[in-house]
Amino acid sequence: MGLPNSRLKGAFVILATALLPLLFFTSVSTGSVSISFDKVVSALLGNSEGVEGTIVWSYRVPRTIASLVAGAALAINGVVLQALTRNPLASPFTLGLNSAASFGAALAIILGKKLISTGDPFALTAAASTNAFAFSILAMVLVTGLAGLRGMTPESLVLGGIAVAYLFSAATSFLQYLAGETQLRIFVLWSMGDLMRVDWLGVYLLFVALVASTALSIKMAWDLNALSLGDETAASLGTNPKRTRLVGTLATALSTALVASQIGPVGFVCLMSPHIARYLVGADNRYVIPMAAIIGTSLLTIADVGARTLMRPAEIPVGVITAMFGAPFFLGLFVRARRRIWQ
Amino acid sequence: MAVRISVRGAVVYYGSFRALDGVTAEFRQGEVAAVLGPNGSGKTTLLRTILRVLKPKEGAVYVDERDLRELKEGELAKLMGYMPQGVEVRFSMRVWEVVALGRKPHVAWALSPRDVQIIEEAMKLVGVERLANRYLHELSGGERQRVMLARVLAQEPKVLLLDEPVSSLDLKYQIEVLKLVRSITREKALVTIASLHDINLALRFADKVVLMKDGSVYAIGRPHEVLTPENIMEVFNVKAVLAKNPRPFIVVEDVVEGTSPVPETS
Repeated sequence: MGLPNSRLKGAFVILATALLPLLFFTSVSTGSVSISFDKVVSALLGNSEGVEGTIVWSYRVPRTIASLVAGAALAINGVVLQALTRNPLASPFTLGLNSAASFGAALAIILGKKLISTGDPFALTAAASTNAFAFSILAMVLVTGLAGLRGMTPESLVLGGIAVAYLFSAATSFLQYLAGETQLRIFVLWSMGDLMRVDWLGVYLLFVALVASTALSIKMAWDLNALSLGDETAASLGTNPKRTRLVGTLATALSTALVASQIGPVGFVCLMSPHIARYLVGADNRYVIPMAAIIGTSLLTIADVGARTLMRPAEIPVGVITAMFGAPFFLGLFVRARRRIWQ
Repeated sequence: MAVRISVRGAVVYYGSFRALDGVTAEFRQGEVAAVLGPNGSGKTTLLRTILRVLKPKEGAVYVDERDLRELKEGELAKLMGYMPQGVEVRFSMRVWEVVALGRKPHVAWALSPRDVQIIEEAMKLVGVERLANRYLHELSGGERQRVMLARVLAQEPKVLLLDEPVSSLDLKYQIEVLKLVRSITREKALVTIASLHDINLALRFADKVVLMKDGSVYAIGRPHEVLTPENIMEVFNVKAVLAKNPRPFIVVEDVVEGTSPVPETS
């Protein structure tokens, strides 16, 4: 690899990965209940007896793993969508996926309508999750269908996505108008996105999302690079732009739907991480993807630590934190470093 | 492997507009073919049809008697390199990142030292090696065009499809780039098809000229046979004379009366 920066970029990615255990320990040691560091360590090492053990293993570990995994998946989805649409502002929100997820959850929480019945006593959460997933998939079918009618161009994906997003937002507003006080509160909390609700099953589902995103993005890294020069040049380099866009959107949407069903529509991680990654390692998606994944992981986990500590013992939904700190940070990046990330 | 590109009776539509109206042309290896014609005469469409981005409604394109449609995407990418007119890159890319994309058809994931060498040589050939670490959007139009050519060269295709490869270049680089294209075409026995606007550059550097008008081939053959004042008048609606100094060149004197949208003032 004699090309400029290649080694440096590789080192960057490895260095950032080395920070992940630190994040894990910080997150596991944080919570509304104070548990001393050595007790956390002993619980992690298998001594899961006592209240501390239960708190660590049933709540903090799944929650921490969830933030690490979901953050990475969201960031990768952002990279893929931005490359597929050649749009630096694209994210799962642009495709209407999160609006659809919110609508699905609202349907369950406000109207009590669920698509799949479970015998779960905590049926409301489960119904909100399955509905969110189902409606994200519906949005995905609508958006790719609409874009397909218009030749699967970057613009058609974004326009189709925005139309679907508005449609579901309007429907959700209507449901909110119908909702009672309690339902409204539950729904608003759901739609802010948080990691409190994730259990071990959720962790497994998030892993499925991350595996899907990672496998796809690695397979597509060169294709995504080629697309940055336009569809025709990409075609001359052996990339089928329409097929890449369709397959990429489907896999990304599936992954996003899984994440949204478990933690709700958490914003900014998917939008910001790719830009920060490009700022650090350049435009080559072979480096952007792992770097963005690590940044997404870190951002979501740090945000969740913040969510649990800023107003202790109360918790703030993590979606609020990512937006509150994400927006100004992003603005700063936009003003200062615009020329280096996108044109 | 010998490579010959044959376009036979290609008819291509944009919606209901018949952009190529039965084009037949042959392109041989070791030859630089220049495609000339007024705006909207089908030059770019012809290149895009050969690249298989556009599919002919009638007729077909053959590579060594093999229908272009039979080729797999990967095969096609190793066979043909395409340099479009003006490329807009949305995410800031460094010059070498753009040129490295030329290796995409040849690599699975990592670039080998040989790939890196090819990328560096391609940059050197078009004189952008000193810009390697610059961002594409910071460069001038001409520099950018040379970077795009380097990318196509790094692809090591057998067929070079160049859409107006010198349109943004200064006088020196117009000559240098076309000299380079010609020598690479000879040396590596490539099939080169380039759309050009400058009649005199075509006269000087092309082995063959395809003169297009309204989506059809008006004339095809050796440059001095095709680029005659008569043909130029018919196709471009301009009066031209042939001069010698000592190489033959065309001087355009005026538009043909009654064909100009601008009213005459005298």
